[in-house]
Amino acid sequence: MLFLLLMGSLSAQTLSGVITDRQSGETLIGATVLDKRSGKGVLCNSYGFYSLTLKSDSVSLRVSYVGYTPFELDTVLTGDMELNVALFPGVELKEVTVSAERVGSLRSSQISAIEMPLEHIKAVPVLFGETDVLKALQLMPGVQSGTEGTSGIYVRGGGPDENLFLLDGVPLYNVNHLGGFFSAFNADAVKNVTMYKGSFPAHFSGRLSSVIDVTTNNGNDKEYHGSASVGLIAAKLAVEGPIIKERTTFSISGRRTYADLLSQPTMALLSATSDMKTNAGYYFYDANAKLTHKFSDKSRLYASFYMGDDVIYARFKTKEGILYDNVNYKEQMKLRYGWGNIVGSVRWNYVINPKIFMNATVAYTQYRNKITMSIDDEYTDGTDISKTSGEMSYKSGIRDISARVDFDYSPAPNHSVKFGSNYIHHIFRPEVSGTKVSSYENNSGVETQYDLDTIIGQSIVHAEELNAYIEDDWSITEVVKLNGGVNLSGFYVQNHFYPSIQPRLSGRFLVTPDLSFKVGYAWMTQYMHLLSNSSISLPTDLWVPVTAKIAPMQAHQVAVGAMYSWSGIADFSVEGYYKYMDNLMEYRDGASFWGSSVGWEDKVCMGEGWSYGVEFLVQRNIGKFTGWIGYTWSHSDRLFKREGQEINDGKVFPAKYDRRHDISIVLMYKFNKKIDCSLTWVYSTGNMATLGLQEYEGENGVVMSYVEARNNYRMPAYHRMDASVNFHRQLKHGSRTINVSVYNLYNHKNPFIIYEKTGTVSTNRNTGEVYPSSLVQLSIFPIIPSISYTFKF
Amino acid sequence: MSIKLKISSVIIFCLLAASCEKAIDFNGEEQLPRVVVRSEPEADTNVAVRITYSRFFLAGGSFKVIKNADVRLSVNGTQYTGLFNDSVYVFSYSAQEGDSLQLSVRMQNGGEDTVVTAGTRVPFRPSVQAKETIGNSCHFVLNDRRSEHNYYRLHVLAIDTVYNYFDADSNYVFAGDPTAVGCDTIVETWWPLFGCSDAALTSNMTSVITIGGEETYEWLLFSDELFDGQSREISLKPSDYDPFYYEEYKSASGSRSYILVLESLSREAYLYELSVYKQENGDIFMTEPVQMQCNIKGGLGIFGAKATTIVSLGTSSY
Repeated sequence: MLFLLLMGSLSAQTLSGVITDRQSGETLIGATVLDKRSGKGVLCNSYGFYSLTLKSDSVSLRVSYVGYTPFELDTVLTGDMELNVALFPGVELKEVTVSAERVGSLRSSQISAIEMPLEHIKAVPVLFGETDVLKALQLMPGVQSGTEGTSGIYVRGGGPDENLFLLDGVPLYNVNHLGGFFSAFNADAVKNVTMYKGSFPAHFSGRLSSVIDVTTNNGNDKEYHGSASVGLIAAKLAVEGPIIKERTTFSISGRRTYADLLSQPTMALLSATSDMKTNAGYYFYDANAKLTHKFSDKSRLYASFYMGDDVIYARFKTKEGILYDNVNYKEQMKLRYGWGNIVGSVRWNYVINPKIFMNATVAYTQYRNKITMSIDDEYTDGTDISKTSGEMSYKSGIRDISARVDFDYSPAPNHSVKFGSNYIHHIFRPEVSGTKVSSYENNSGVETQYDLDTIIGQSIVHAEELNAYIEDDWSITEVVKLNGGVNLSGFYVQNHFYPSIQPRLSGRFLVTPDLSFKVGYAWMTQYMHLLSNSSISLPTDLWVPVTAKIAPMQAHQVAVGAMYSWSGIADFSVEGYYKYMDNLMEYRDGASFWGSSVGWEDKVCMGEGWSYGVEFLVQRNIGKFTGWIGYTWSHSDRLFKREGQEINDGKVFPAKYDRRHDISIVLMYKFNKKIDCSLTWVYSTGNMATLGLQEYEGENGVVMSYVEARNNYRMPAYHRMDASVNFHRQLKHGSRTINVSVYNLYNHKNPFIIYEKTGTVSTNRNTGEVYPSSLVQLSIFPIIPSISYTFKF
Repeated sequence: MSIKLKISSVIIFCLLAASCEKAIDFNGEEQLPRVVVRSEPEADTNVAVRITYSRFFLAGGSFKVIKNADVRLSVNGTQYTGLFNDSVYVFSYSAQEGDSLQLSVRMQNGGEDTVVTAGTRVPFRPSVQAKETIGNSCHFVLNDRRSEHNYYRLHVLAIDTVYNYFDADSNYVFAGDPTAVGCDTIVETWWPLFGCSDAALTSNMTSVITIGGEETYEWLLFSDELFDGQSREISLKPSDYDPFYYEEYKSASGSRSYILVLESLSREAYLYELSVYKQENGDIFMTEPVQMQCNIKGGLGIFGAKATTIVSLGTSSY
C-alpha cells in the first residue's frame, strides 16, 4: 500500500491552503474543495486547511460552504500549488448548497456523524431562552435526552458518561450547569459542532458512545465585533477582533446567571420576619477566551482558555442584639458549594509541505468540586465569653495534562491519511475531607482553648494514557470509498496496564450522484467511569479510573445506512445500528455514593449491554423554510449475570432510557430579514422505572415492597412543544434581536420521576392496614415564557 | 427595592415552584395477590410458617392470613403436616443443624389450585471462643466452617448494672447490693466498631470492617467471603455511649457485661436479610429500588433457617 501511495504521489500535484470567511477571517471547518473534472474533493479540517492531490494538470475547482457564495477557478497545475480562498458569506444559491451537501454527506465515507450548523443551534427554542448546544443535539435521531430539561446525552443506548466532549480538542469532564439543565458550551463562543454517534474515525478514542467535537471562534482578524445579550436568567457578552490586523486575533465571551440577584427580594422578605439574616442563591458563569496568531500562511498558533463554575451559597447570620437565655448570642453559618472546569490549550499548526499538515497540542483540563461549610457562634455574658468556630470541607476532582500531535497527509489523489499520537497524564483526586474546629472559653477568668485540624481522604491516583492512531480515507473508485484505521491505546494505573487495539472501518458506495449507501464498524475502549447516584448530573459525581478489579469498558458497533438528496429540496437518511457493550458498570441494589468513592469497587456490578435501532432523518437546510424531522426506533438492554454481581437475578432487563420511539420535529421559517421563527415538537416513549408492584408483610408487620424486575414499568410518554420568534432590527451602530420564546407551549406536565404515594390517612401502615396508594409523577417545568435582548455591533 | 422588582421576583419564584406532582393512572395490568410464605426457623425450635396474601401496591387493605392451606414439610424423606394455630402453621418437627427442609403449600387462590414450594438447609451453630476483655474492648475468635460458605449476623449486647447513685427525682440514694431494689440495669444493643486481629489496627481500634458486611446500630451482617474456612479473631470496641454521662450516675458504681449473639444463617436467609437491610437503608433519592430476595417458587417471601450461639464476653467494673 505504501508503494501504491508513493507511486501515486510521483505523478500528481497537490493543491493546498486554508478556506476562510472573507469578512471575519474565520476558518471554515468542513468547507468543500472539489475538482469538478475529476470529481475528487476534500473537506477542510478543523483548522480550515485542505490538501487535494490531483493527477490531472487541468482542474476546475469549486470551493463551497453552506451559506457562502462559491468560488470557482479553472486553472492548470504545473506543480504543487497553494490556494487560500476567502468566501463571501450570505448569498446562498441552491445548487451551491446542494453541491456542498453532496460532497459533505453523500460522498463522505463517514457514517453516524452530525454536523450541527450554528444557526440551527441558535434558532432552536430552549428552556429559559438560553441557547444550548447539547439540547440542540438532543433533537437529532439517535441522541436522547435524559430526564426533563437536562443536558444529559444518551447516544444509541449508551450511558451519559460514555460521551467524549472536546472543546478545541481538549476533553471537558463536566459539561453541565445547574445539574444539567444548561450545558457548559456558550453558543456565542462556538464556531462548529460535530457529533459522532458511531463509526468513529481512528483519531478519536476514550469513550464508548459518542464524540462531541466543539470548536470555538478564532476571532475576527479585520475589525472589532461583539454582542451583548440579556435574557431571563443570564447575561452574555462576546467581543472579538484583531490585535494585529490579519495576523493576531482575540475572541472573548462570557455569561453569568443572575437568579441569585433576582432572589434577593425573596431573601429580604424571609429575613424580615426572622432573627436571622438570610442570604442564599445560585449562579453559574463561564468564560471563553482565544488568541490566534498567524506567523505565516504555513504556521499558526492558537491559545484557548475556558473556565466555568457553578456556585450555590447560603449565609445565615443572627441580627445584632439577639438574646438567647438572656445571654448575648451571635451565630453565623456559611455554606458554599462550587464546581466547575478549567481548560487551557496551546496548539500550533504547521504546514510542513503541501501534503502534510501538522498540529501539535499541549493542554490542561481540570474538573473540581468543593463544598465548604462553616459555623461560628459566640455567647457573651459580661466578661464571660464562649466562641466556637468550625469548618468542614470536601473536595474532589480530576486533572489531565496532555500532549498530542496530529498529521494530515495527502500522499496520493485517492488517499487522505491521518496519523498521530496522544499522551495524557491523569490525576484523579477522588475525595478529600477536612475538618477544622476551634473553641475558646473564658469562664470567670479561666481560659480554655481547643483546636482540631484534620484532613482525611483517598490518596491521589495517577494514571497514564497513551494512544497512537493511523487512518486512511481511500477513494478506491468513484463509487467506493473506504476509511480504515486503527487506534492503539494503553492505560497504566496502580501497576496495571491495559492495552487495547481498536480497529475502525467505514465505507461508502455512491450508487448515483444523489444516493449513497454506507457501512461502518468501530471498537471503542473507555478507561474511566463516572460514579453517579442519580439520573441527573450532580457535581458530586466522581470520575474514577479503571482498576485491577474494574476492567475497561468496551463497545463494538456496526452501522449501515443510506443517504438520498432530493434535488435540493431535502436530504433523507436512514441508519441502522447494533452496539454491544461489555464491562458496563451499574450500582448494586441500594448502593450509594453521594460523593464518596471509598470502596466503590465493591458497590458496583459489571455486566454487558446491547442496543439496536433505526434512525430516520429528513432535513432541509436551504430556503426560507428549513428544519428537520427525526425519528428513532430503538432497544437497549442490560445483562448482569457474573457470579456475585447479579442484577435482576442475572436476567436481561431494559436500560433506564430504553425508549421505543423518539420523534423530533424542528421547523424554522424566515419571513423576512426582520422576523424569523422556529417551532419544535418532541415526543418520546417514557423512560423505564422500577416499581415494587406487590407489597407483603415482613417481620414485625413491616411492609415490604417486592420488585420483581428492574426497570419493570414504563413511565408516561414525554412530549413538548416549544416556539420562538426573533425580531431583528438594524440600528445605527449595529443590530438588535429580541427573542421571545415559550418552552412547553401547551403546558404538558411531563414526568420527571414517578413514585408511589401512600395513603395519607394511613396511621397503621406498619401493621399492614393501609388506604390505597396512588402513583404520582413529579413534573418540574410547566409552560415557561422567556425573552431576551441581543445587541450586535 | 422597587415594588416591581419584588413582584417580578415573587412571580419567578412561584413559576419555579410550580413544578407539581399529580396522580397518574397505572398503565399496566393490576396484579392479583400472591401467596406469601415467611419462615425462618431457628435450630432446635419447632418450624412455624406464616402464610398470607400480598397485595397490589396501589390496592390498600390488610394482608390476609391464609388459614386453609395444605402445608407440608419434608425433612430427609420424612413428611410433616403444618397445623394452623394462632395465625401460623406449626410443625411437630424441631429444626436440626444440617437438615435439608422442603416446604410445599397447596391452596386455592382466585379459584385456581396454587402450589408454592421452597427449600432451605438449617445451618450449623457458629463456633465461637471468647477471649479476654481488655478495658472496654472485647475479643473473640470465630472458627468458620470449612468446605461451605457461611453467613452470619452478629449482635452484641452491653448490659450496664449501675448502683450507688442519687436519684434527684425520688430524693433517694440507691446503694449497696446491685441486686437490691432501686438498682438500674440498662440493657442496650451495642453498636460495636469492628477491628481485626491485625495488631496495628487493633491497637487504635479503627472502625475498619475487615470482615466485610453491612452494619446497623444493632447488628453486623456478613459472610465468610474474606476468611472462608479460617479462624478470625474479631475485636470489638464499645460505642460512645457512657451511662455515667448522665448526672444521676456521676458518682455511681457498677459493671458492664457483654453478651455476643452470633447467628449462622442459611444462604437464603442471609440474602433475604441483606435485601431487607438494603431496602430499608438504601432508599435514597433517585437510586434504584432494591429487589427483595425471594426463594419461594410460585409465590413471595422467604424460607430460611438459622442457628445461634450465645457467648458471654466478660464483665468489666466501673
